[in-house]
Amino acid sequence: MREVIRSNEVEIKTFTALQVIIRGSGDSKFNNLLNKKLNLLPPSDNLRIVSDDNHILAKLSYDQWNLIFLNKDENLKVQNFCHEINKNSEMLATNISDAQVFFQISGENTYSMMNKLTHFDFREKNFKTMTAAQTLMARIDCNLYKLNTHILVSCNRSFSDYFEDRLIDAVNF
Amino acid sequence: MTHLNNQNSPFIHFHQRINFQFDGKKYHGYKGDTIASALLRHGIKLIGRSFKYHRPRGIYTCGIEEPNALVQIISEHSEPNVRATIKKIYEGMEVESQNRWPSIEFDIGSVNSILSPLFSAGFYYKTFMGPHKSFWKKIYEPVIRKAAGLGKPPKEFKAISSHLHHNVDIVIVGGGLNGLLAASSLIDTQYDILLIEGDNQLGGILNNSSKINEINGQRPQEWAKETIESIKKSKNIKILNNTLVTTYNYINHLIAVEDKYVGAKPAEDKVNSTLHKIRTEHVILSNGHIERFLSFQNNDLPGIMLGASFEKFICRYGVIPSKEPVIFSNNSNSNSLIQTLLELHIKPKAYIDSRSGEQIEGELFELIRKNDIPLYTNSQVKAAYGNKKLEKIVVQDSSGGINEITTDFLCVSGGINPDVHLFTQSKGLLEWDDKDLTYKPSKSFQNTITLGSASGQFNFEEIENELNQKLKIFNVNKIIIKIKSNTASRYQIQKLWEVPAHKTSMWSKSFIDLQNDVTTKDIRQAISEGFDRIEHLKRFTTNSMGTDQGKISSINALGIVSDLLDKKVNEVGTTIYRPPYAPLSFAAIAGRNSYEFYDPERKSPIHQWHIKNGAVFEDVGQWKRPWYFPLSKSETMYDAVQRESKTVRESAGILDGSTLGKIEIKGKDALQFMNLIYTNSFTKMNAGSARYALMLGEDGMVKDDGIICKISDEHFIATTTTGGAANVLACMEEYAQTEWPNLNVYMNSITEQFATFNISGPKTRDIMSKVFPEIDFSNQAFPFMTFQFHEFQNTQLRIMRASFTGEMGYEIYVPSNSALKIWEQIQEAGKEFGLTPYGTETMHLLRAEKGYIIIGQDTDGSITPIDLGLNWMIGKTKTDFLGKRSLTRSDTVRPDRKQLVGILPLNKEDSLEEGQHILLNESLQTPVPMLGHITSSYHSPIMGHTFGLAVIKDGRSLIGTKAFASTSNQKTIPVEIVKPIFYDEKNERLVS
Repeated sequence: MREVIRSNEVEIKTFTALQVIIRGSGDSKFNNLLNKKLNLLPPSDNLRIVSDDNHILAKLSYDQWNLIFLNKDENLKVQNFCHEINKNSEMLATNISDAQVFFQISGENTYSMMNKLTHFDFREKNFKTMTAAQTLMARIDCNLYKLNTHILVSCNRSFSDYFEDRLIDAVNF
Repeated sequence: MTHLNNQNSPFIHFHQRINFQFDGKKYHGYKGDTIASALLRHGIKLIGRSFKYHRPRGIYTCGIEEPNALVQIISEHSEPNVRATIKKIYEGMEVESQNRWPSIEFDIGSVNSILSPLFSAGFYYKTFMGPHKSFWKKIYEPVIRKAAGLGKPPKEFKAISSHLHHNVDIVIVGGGLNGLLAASSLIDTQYDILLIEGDNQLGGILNNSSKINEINGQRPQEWAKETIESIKKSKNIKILNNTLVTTYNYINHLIAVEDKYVGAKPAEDKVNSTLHKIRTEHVILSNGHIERFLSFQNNDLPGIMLGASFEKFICRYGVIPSKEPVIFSNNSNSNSLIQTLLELHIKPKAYIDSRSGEQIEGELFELIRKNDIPLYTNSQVKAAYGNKKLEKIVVQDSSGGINEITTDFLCVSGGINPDVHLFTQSKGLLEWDDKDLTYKPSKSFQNTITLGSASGQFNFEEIENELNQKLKIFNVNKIIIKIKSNTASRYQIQKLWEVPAHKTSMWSKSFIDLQNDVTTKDIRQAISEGFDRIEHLKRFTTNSMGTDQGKISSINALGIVSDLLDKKVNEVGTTIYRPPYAPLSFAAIAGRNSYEFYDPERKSPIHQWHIKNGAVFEDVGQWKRPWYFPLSKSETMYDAVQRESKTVRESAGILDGSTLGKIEIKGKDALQFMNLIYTNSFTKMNAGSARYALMLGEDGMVKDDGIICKISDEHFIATTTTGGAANVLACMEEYAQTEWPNLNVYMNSITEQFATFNISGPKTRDIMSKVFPEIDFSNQAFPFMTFQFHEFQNTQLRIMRASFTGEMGYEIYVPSNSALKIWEQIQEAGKEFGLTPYGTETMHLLRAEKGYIIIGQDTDGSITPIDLGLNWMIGKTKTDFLGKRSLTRSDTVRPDRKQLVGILPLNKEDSLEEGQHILLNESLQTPVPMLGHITSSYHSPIMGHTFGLAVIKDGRSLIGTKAFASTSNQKTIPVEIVKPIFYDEKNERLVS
């Protein structure tokens, strides 16, 4: 994890994480399989996040879940996970660990800083803790994960330099 | 100039002197002063020259509604059209007057005033018709453009502005009396609230006048201080000062601009302004009212000012513009001005009221009588006279007698209008009030509440009722407010839209729009010429089309029109107030989405290597792609591309193709889905093989292309064009979800997961074998259009035998985190074989030689696969696929459709260019029958001349025919129409 900036009551760190997009019906067969592999029951409510010490699992649409592995050195585990899931012809697990970068944002001014880049309503009543969202930040597609102590933002790796510069700019200006 | 100071004003820091310049002359003001208040402190009245006639103009108001006092701020990159009544001074500020040459005192342009009888309404439309149409382009337009406009464009500079989004429950616009009352009633409720005030002080009327004596037993300033403190302490209300709401959009979306440098020079490296974009549930408009002026002869002279503005200068800015002003009114709004003056021991020189003595309120009458102020009832100011400033006025009294009064200042009040601009922007409806002679908010279209004078409620006694009634939707506690005021108990006004001129001549002028120099005569002329609809009249005369949008005058114009047409004002209607409420800069609109952040940039995992190796980049969508790799600074693009393409043909080249879209498709019904999405059939395709495929729109036109890798009947990987990646995935999702929801299939983008290297050329196999020694790259083991997965250095690669250059080649798909390392290994291994990196330009040249198309370049949304000669890619036996039905429509099967062909110049020295039209005849005499146009053209190093691809009518039947290509210099080049393939027609090199 690399510190991007710590200023004006905002702290931003960046890192890459192992990540898998899982597509499926969300039926009991689907839930059981994931529960068996992860020891985590997938959330059924849209945009809800569940997590344990090793994973964050968010439901991002009616048939899509994003699974983030919190331990960095589980590459093989991720490959095996995808392989196992993909044995099921009615599911798709795609490893996108190389496709995205993450920004961990915390501090008192997190949301006012982020609202320089997005219209998104971060108020607790409209964006509850342990929920996720997909929206535009600095005009690029981002996933937002509102966790207990901080917010995680992921974007495609091709935008990482641009997005990092925008975040620094938003903190400084 | 201390004799003009009102030291009682708490808002001006008289101990903090600030030096500034106006038109090169040094002046001083005090902290808190605007340019206008500081200049008035020095008795300066002449501020600028008018738009059309270059008439001398002064300060007419004390706020955002100012039509005259627009200045250029030299010390801020020469920012033009800044309202002197808003802009605060700072040390070292340089200000210049506008629209004058050589000086404000002696302005050559004022000759326009002498010629003014020529410049009546519609002058431009009627005058610049002849004698020949070329006169407009060559003479009229350049001259008018040079003469038009206020101020000069600013010098080049880099403005810094930021955007800030808000999501709240309630926005209160205006921090005056009603805004403060509304906010204080909502303290510590469940609502998130923004209180927005344009001034740097909250309080509005409490600061600007002596209208209110007491609120709940407290002096107004004390009450305001306590209330503001409690609002500031609240957890749910945020105050934005110096912030002007400019726009009220659908749905309850407001735009406001915050000036971050009020009373200070904007820093070059910091944000100067913030554009607030606010989404809210409710909007409370408590943004007050605007005083109207009155039309009489020479009502534009410097020294004439709105009465309420005169009072605001005294109370808010601590400057007394004149110690002997005359007051001219048609309404009951001037009590507090007189009260304010009397408290400063200033006796107005006269009070002139168009109303009769009986109509004037008792309190006002008593005040005037007690203080022995000369009173003219049933009287009107007929004219004002003076040389560049007011010197005297002519008054017609109740008996019809004419009186001259010598004075340097005239305060006018033509009534008040609720400030309805934002309300009408929100699509709220207005209703004409015949008693108060103004349009008032009637029916809200959104969740909009208007309060106080913004709602047309001009009586302080009614405030408590109004607040309690309108705010009850928020379940607030009952508001108790007792106000003692200096105003008439009931607002009263007499109709007075225009005072007939004192002496009429061709040059006499009563202005109805000060900023655009529109006179009442212009209004009459427009009506007489048939422009009797208010929107037509507005455009014909330019009335209320200035940057002030006629804030102080548009209702007067409606009144005059209604009289002329003998209609009621509500029958005349009103023009539309459009956003923004007041001008805002482009810098504020752009925010940080400018300069280095103008467009998001995408970089491939190899980007840093490209930079290190001198790549020149081109923008492909948002991607930065290497265009070519010059070997030295002296190597031109042409030379580099010729070299790169020759090297690929002779040895090997490698392209960073990471930007190609990649999609993983999987599911029980994936095969059926792929057969439906693409024209090709994938049913008989072997696992482990790849196929070039076309995707059509429902109209049968080619939408995208790519290579499909079949892992199994349930699992595919598709590539797309770089620009089409997102659209293709969205299209797949849409059809999967809406048209074929019965199919079990899922798709994910893997564009960014994998970098792609396209390596090709006769030496490619040698290089690949060196980098990946464990893989057998022989034709037998690894035939053309097959792919294999391989473990390599702890990562999994997918290698596909395919080529976009016409040479034998491979596409290597590498997980992005490992891409740079493997790219460098290939470069190193390729050195001994002459491997060269090449960019997109060489890629285009090589593919065009081979006749491979680029979607979006050789196609334009009107080309079918048949037009491209790609019939073989259509699965004839498939029952259905996207666009199938359209391929049999009469239009798509007609023989004279444009078809893809090749073009060669007959004279090899001639250069073909993209976009050139192909003609059958050499003659360029119009109308020129055109066959089509060249879509791609390059200079081929292997052929030694240019060549092109083109789409032309019935092209395939014209192959072998001589034709002509038109050039940009009105000439033609003889060309031959040929097959669209120029290199290795038998594909011997491709499959070698």
